[in-house]
Amino acid sequence: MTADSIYSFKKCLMVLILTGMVLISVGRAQENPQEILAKVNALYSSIDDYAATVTLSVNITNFRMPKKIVKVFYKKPNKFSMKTDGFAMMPKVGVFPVPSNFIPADAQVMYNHSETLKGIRYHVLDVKPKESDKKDSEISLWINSKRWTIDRVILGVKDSGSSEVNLHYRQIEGKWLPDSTVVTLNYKKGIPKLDRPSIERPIDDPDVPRVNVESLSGTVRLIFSDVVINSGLDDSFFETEEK
Amino acid sequence: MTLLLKATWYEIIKIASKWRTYIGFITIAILIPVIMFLVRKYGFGVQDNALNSMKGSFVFVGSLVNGLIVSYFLMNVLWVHFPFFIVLVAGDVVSSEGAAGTFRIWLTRPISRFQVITAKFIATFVYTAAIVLFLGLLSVGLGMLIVGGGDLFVFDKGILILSQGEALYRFLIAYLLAVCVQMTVASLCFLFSSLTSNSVGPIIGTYATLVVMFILSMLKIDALKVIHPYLFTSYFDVFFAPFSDPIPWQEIAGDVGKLGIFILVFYLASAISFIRKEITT
Repeated sequence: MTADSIYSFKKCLMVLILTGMVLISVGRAQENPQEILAKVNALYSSIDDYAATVTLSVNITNFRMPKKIVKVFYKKPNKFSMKTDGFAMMPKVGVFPVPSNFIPADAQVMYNHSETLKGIRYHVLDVKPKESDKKDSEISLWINSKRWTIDRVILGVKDSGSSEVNLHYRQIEGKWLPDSTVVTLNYKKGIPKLDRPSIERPIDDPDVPRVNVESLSGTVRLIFSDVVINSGLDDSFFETEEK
Repeated sequence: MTLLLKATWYEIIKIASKWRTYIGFITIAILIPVIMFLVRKYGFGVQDNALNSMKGSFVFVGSLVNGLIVSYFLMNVLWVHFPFFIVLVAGDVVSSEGAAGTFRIWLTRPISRFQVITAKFIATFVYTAAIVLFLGLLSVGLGMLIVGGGDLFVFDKGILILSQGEALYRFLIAYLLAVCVQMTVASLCFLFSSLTSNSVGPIIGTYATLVVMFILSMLKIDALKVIHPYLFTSYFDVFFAPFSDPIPWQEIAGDVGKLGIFILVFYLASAISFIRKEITT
């Protein structure tokens, strides 16, 4: 290979790299996060109300509870109701994945990048609360570019940890609605390993700071069934719940 | 056997005919509804405190504040306070008759001293079981009625939430075990009662023993651990064991067995003391 040919090869390579970089940046510039969110919202725009039965199973360090059945109800624009016998804890994200339900109104949404996973292109958006939030939380959304569903959410709290929500969908009446949701938790501060009352410590006080608090890790799994949309849920149903 | 059953029945009637028998029942009947109404009105912050670390990611549906959790916390009275109602009666069962001199007449009947003391012991057991189960029934029943039912939140290697059905089953086992625990106190008091002719001594003696044992159990001195297995108070926490998951049956059986040995020893010592008792003077 002559010096000229090596020089021309390098030149071609440089041009290719530059072209690629330009194309990527142009591509980025063309992706408008608000437009992407609008497409996600449009998916659910024809859903006025939603009801489902959720089977909840929890597997968290130092926390055990039986499987729970929770009835969830949603009505446009932001009415929510959840009912269960006794007690249950539901993830804040992943029950009904309309972005407006978990993106604060004053939040700043930015396009981060796009990536391809299992042959599907995802738009990754970052959500940052505009007002200085004490917890300094950040939300990242993975939006499926084929069906415009939120397939993955990462909620990060600075110096505290993060939780990852993976949503799986199925089509109900032509709409992509959650079929199952898995929340994976990973926080520095967990639930203290409180012992049952004993002769040495008749009452264990959860308020007392623990020396070696284990981290909070584990999963919460939600399986959706009996999904009903647009059944005409009355506002009074939610008002009673608010009371 | 018929004599023993008859004697036991009469002993139960004797216990039931005394005013002091009802002090415990009346106190429980007043205290429990008051506590339940106060919880219903002012709440109970246990959920907020213990689940603090999960508030960021979860929405809590329903409430853990219900009659069952109040009943669970109320079980803490079974350590030190509740035995007062037990010794109040158990301390009087034998000694009062010694003081009144009724043994002189009774022991002329064709019933052995062993049968008399056994009848009194069984009657004491009936009273103990009745008052413990009364506390259990009233606290769980009124708790569910006034504060409401639901899942039970307990501490066991962290937080354990039991469904209402499971919790009620655990309460049943817990209160049966509490009967065993309180019977240990009753049998010690019964022993002291068989040794004296006034009921104040056995009451004070039993309480003093309990307090000393609690002090020895609670002091964080390693050297004292050597004597812990010999203190019956070391096994008093057995009534909280059913609220673990899975239920530690082996641990429960071990603790109940040890408490059973203490009860048997106190009963036999009472019997020996009563058989040898001088009642003619």
